[in-house]
Amino acid sequence: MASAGSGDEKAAAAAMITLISSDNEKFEVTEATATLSQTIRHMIEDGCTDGGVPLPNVTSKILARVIEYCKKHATAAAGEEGSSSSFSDAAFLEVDRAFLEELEEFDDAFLEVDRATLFDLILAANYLDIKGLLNLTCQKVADSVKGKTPEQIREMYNIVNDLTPEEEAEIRRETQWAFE
Amino acid sequence: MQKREMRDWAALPRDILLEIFGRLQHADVLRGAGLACASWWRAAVEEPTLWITIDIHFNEGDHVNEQSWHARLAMGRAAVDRSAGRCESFRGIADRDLLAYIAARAPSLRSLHVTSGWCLPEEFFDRVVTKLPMLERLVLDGGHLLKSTLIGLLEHCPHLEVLDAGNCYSDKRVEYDMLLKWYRMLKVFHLPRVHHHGWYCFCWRCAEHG
Repeated sequence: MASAGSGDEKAAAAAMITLISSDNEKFEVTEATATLSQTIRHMIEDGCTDGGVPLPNVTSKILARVIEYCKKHATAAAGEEGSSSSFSDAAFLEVDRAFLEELEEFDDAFLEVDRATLFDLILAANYLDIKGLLNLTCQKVADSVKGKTPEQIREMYNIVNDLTPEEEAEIRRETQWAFE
Repeated sequence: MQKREMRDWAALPRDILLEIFGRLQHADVLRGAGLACASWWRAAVEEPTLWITIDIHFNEGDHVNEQSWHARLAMGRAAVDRSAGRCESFRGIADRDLLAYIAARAPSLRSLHVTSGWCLPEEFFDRVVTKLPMLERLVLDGGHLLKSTLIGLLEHCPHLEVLDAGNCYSDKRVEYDMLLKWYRMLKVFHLPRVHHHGWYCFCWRCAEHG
């Protein structure tokens, strides 16, 4: 099994996976990067990655961004594993902290995208089952609607109010405060 | 100029919407995001797991007046409704009616934190005190806790471990042997102080009805 080589750095580095976007672009990534996606991890475990992994739901533009995220966070995961063995080493913890800060900065910069890209990233994170990326992108949406009125949110996300008069009446009954 | 690409945010899958709503305060789901469109509304109304741990307390800096106060109480009721009987924890302002509402509709309630002054007259005893069989934690930020309510809670909530009423006042002193029993029973126990010169309640209900 390919994942058995993860303890051996050379073997892990050598294990490359090819991801194929919906528009047929091929991306070569290390197994450590690819397995941040639970979906791909399962494919690798099932041994069905020969000839590349087709991802019909993800465009090359989005896949490139997702891989960028996974590369950065795969390094982080590897760093965490390495640090646990020398947990008492204060200098090592200091390095860890600096790296976590760097990671946070990376995440902030990563989220500087337009709403359409954010939408695509959320769907890709969900489809590929990348927990960290899903958390990050959903938090971004949550932060953006915090304290906003329904009208402001509709405008922000270009949502049409398609509540039927019956639904509106039901809402009015339950939630008068929204219409104060 | 670049044309803006559009995505259909109303069509976000339900599980993703719940991820997003789960990161919002309940007040924001109730009066904001949960009203944007039909699919977002349904996600907010039809998913009891969103409402298991209810927190509708005001944020620091919120402007509180009579209207916003009543709005919060209505939000509390709506949140409890949406939990469909599965609410396990409630934190927020609550008057006697909301307490009765919670007690009737949240049989699994384990934690109750009332952030407004506690005011529960004798006639509400049977609608609240005897209806919280699973309660483990009761925190009252202040108000008036009758001795009869205190005794009733310790009698009717066999799982109670935390009772923090240290900022409350009570009408009568509790007998020593009773106290001793409670201190043995509970992990955390902050007794209300006894007022000596009469008590005036300033909750909206008491203010309205004199």
